Amino acid sequence: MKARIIFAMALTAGLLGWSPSPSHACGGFFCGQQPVDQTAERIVFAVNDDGTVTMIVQIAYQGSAPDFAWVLPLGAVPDVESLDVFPQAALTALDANTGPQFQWPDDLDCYGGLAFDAAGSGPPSRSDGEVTVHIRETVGPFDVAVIESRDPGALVDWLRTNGFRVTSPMEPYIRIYTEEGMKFLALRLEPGRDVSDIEPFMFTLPGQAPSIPLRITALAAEPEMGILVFILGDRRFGPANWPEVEVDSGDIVWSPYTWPLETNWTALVARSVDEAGGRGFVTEMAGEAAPYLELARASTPRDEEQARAQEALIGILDGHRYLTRLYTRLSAEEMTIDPTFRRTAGGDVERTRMLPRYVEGRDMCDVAYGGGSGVADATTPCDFASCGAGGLCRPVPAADGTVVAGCACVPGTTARTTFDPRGRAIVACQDMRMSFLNPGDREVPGATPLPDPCVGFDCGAGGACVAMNMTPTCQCADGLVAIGSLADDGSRLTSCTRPSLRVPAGFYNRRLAALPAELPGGREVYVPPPDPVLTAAGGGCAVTPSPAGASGWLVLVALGLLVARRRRNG
Amino acid sequence: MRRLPVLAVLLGVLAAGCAGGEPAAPGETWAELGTGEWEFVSLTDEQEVDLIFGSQGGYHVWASIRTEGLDPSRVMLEVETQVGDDSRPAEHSRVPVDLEVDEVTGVQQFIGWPAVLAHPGCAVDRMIRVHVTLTDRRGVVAGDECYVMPRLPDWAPPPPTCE
Repeated sequence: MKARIIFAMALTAGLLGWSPSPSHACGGFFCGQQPVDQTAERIVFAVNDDGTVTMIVQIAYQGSAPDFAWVLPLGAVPDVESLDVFPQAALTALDANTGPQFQWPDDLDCYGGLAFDAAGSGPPSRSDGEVTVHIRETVGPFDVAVIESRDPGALVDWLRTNGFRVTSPMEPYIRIYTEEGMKFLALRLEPGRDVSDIEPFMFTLPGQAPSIPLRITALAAEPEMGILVFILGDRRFGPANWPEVEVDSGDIVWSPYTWPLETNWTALVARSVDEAGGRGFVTEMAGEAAPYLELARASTPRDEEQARAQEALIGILDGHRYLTRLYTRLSAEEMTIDPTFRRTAGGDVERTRMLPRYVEGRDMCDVAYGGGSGVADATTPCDFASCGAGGLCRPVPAADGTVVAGCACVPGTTARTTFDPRGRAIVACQDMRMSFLNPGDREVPGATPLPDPCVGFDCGAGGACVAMNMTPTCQCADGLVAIGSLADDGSRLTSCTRPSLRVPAGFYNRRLAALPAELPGGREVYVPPPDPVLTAAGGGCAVTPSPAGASGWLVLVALGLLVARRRRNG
Repeated sequence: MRRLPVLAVLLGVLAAGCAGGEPAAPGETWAELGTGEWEFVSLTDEQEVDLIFGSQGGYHVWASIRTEGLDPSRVMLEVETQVGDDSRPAEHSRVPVDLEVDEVTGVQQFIGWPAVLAHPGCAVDRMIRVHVTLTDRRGVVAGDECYVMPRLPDWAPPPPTCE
């Protein structure tokens, strides 16, 4: 879609492109059958004994090679000898071998006729005008620069002059990080290189507390985007300035008819983080790193790619006693604080979770629950969906007789088709304020004004198209929900339709939280005040959060926010 | 050691103190500011503490708090750091947190908040003030304050010059 044109270069923390990748890699460590969140951004931190942190960041990108640029704020200049690429296969294998495993209930009634197992196995710097160029190297397919300036304008000019595309929306974020004294790591593809050459990038910095520069990621984040963090160190790590969120295994809905076994784990994580105020990490696994190191060493690579991945994994696992795996799902409006991580006193967290037989009164083992068709179970599509903090899932009968998940969106949000962790098209509600490039804007100074991506886009009856970062989305009339699909050419389709279960009127009285005034904004959005009549009539809406209440400290829930506005920059 | 004034909103509050202070009477609300990344470490006034350099920038000291008498769920934690001579503006952070509760002693704690120094170059080897306030959903407030001296590890990059 158009989004890839717009953000083809802008991506910052690498959180861009969204083409689902193969979920399985195959000897030993590279032969996992465990499904992974194909759409998650993966980041590895190795907290070393010498006061340094090695960071490996996956770079997902869709677009043309000349447009590729990747900019990451850094606290210090990385060791030039540490700059390297890291095999994607190694990251995927680490993910597949440490992710949640789900064990069927210890209940013989659940095994009738269904007998499959869910578990798988610093050089001298030079000053270039007002910009200090600490590093300029070729690393793998990348032209790499580490630069610094106290003048954000000079820094942006240097990047553009040297062929690193910086879009207009990036400028205020660069200013914020520049004011904080940050350096910038910038990557672009060397001439003659293709986007298929892009690999995760690794580097080592001085520092003790790992952190993710998430604020700048908001520029191009998909709604409910997965972020997967691995931290290798001398003990367990957890978030320091974000809550650690726990998910009750008793809430895991699962479908016995799917292979690999489908659970609502990622949706539960998303909802739990939303309930925690939009920030939080779930510890999916924590334990000694030695078993993974041994498994990697014992694996027999089938080809050169696996051999390279094996060598890279051994290199990063060796010398670190403990591995922590943290997962979250966030939308752009929740990326307001960069998470920092610290050592914790917590114990091991097993990756295997026992599935419950009963969830909210439903028997997950009752194969006839859904009507005795022989293929139905106790789940509904909404169990596995996450519509975002501003959304409510409702089932929708599809033309082919199946039922799909649809999302109703609160005022100020719009339905965007994105991808679930399995790479399937789904819808999530996106905060309309978080659109940083809009029709008529110029992507870079002097460029042609951007066209309207909504031209010719059909949201269906009762739907209105809204351009979000140059991707068409749909605002549906009250009572309708949006469903998503993919066209034959892979473009995203979204349409409004009536759900089989009514959306409570009170749902539309929910309001977006205020955004931090100090962060750059996207478009201005008028959000009508709550309707007291609707509020009274809509008391049946179970998802409407109660406003701040007497405690008075739920400041992020904007009870008094009659008009939600963000100042638009540029 | 410098103590906060009593911060009573709904219930009586007594600060327990930077260095452990005088023991609070049974039933009274108190708070003790300490340090520690993964466990509570008591502080004495003017004690040296590690200045942590974040891998993505910024300098902070770890602030940990022990308290008693609060509703431990969704407590508003407010932390303020400032160069001790007040020559630079203070850095504030405010966030709801859940306190861990020791089931045996009833003592509540929050471990490892990164108390960021807005002007780290002005703080190294000088005294800084760290002030913490906890407010629970009933409005009960407890707090403490310490003056500590940040020390930067030899390997860490020096912070920007104090201007």
